[in-house]
Amino acid sequence: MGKTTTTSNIAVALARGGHRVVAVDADIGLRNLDVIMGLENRVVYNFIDVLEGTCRLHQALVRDKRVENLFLLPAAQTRTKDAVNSAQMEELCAMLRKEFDFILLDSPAGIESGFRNAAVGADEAIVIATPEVSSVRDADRIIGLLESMGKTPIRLVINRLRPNLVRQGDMLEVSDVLDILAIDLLGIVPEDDSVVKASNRGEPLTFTDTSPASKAFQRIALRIAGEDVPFPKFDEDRSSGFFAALRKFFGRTE
Amino acid sequence: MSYAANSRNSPEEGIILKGTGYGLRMIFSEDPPEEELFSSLRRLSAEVPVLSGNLGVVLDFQGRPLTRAFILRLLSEFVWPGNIRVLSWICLDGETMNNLRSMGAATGEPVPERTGRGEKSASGSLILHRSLRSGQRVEHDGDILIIGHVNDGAEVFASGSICVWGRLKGTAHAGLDGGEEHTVVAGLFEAAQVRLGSKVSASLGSGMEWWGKPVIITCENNSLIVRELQL
Ligand SMILES: Nc1ncnc2c1ncn2[C@@H]1O[C@H](COP(=O)(O)OP(=O)(O)OP(=O)(O)O)[C@@H](O)[C@H]1O
Ligand SMILES: [Mg+2]
Repeated sequence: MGKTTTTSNIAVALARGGHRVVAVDADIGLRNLDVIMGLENRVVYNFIDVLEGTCRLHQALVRDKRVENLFLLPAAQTRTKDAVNSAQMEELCAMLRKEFDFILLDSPAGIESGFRNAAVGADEAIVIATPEVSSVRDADRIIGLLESMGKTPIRLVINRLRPNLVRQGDMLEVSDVLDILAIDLLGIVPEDDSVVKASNRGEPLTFTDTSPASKAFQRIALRIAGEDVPFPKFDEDRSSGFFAALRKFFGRTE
Repeated sequence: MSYAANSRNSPEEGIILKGTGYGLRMIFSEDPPEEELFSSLRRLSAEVPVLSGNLGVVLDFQGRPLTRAFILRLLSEFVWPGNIRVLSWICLDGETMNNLRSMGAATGEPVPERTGRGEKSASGSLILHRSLRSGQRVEHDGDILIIGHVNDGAEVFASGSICVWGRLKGTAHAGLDGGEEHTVVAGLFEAAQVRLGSKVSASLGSGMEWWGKPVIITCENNSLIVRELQL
């Protein structure tokens, strides 16, 4: 889907915008946010150490030297997913809230306890879906769960859109995705080879300004920070009037 | 609201209570042995009077597989004596879910009720002013009217008829008790399958002429008939 990619790019873009940001790897056991952010060699402690009192919060935070105000809170790699419970996760988020403007939690895939733990401490949610039938069905399920947990707003990032690709097989139009999921659109990120190159380098794209995906992630970060950033042309070309689909008759009613 | 029953004991034996849009959710940790869970439950029943109030409760067992014996014990020692209104049973273990369903328990994520919406009408119909998402399930003894969509992966079960104002992509089963005089109506039909009484449709697809159109589905001469709905 691109959860880790999105977390790392938004974290860098927000920090470059002057906000104090921490990216938390909530994917216990499969941790890779540190690798994608290029900080894996500097990981000493992880957030379970903090919760168990083995170290203090600031000892576990890895400071990114490339930009001010960006930190990573790593996950434990050797532990099972059930090493933390929801109450501890809420406690951790409460600690972080005092120190940071934005706390980004990178959730594991699926709807099991790892996902719930990541979600429980969050105020808002960002759901990432690719424009395919199976991904949209998974996203729909996640949104239903988040709604039942009372997380609002829940906003959508459509990732890996191929604007010029002829519609085929299980590919969906942006307007179809919005029609089915009926939540607010936070941004659309195109399929872009530079995403993969950037993860191999351990340098999120939003450190440099040029690629289409980088620009998309930067617009998303601005929208998260509360700015009203228009959706550019490549999003709109996909289908006429998809903005109308944003809040269709059966969409969110509140 | 959040209340940790385990605050004085080891966190592993815990049950967490959370307030949600639909009522209370009781989340059972996966590790503690059965005995510890039941003693936590006894403490909870004594300390949290709202449990036996009007509030609906969702029992969420996360990944813990439940035996039939465990479920029965839970019913006879906690749910029935405590007058607990269980909205739904949730478990990630497929076998457990099958067990629960075959015992007639409500399963799946409950649909949060919004104030003034999703009410039972005078005639005993359920009117839901929202869409159902994948994994959500509504079951009602009577007719169900959904002013919204039924998404792929959502389920609607009614002993009477089902009317979906929007798009029907998920599963609809009308006439759950076997009554075949009921109907399924959808504003836009895109479901792979539909059930009415004891009849199950063959797998449906975009080849059908009424696909993507408003339809009415009835049972006539012992077979399912789908017609484009023309008003
Ligand atoms: N917009 C994009 N263009 C091209 N490749 C992408 C894009 N977004 C993500 N990818 C690639 O897709 C793969 C999966 O991305 P990522 O690890 O971010 O997903 P995830 O949702 O975190 O996965 P998991 O559920 O395994 O944690 C990676 O190889 C990543 O480089
Ligand atoms: Mg990931």
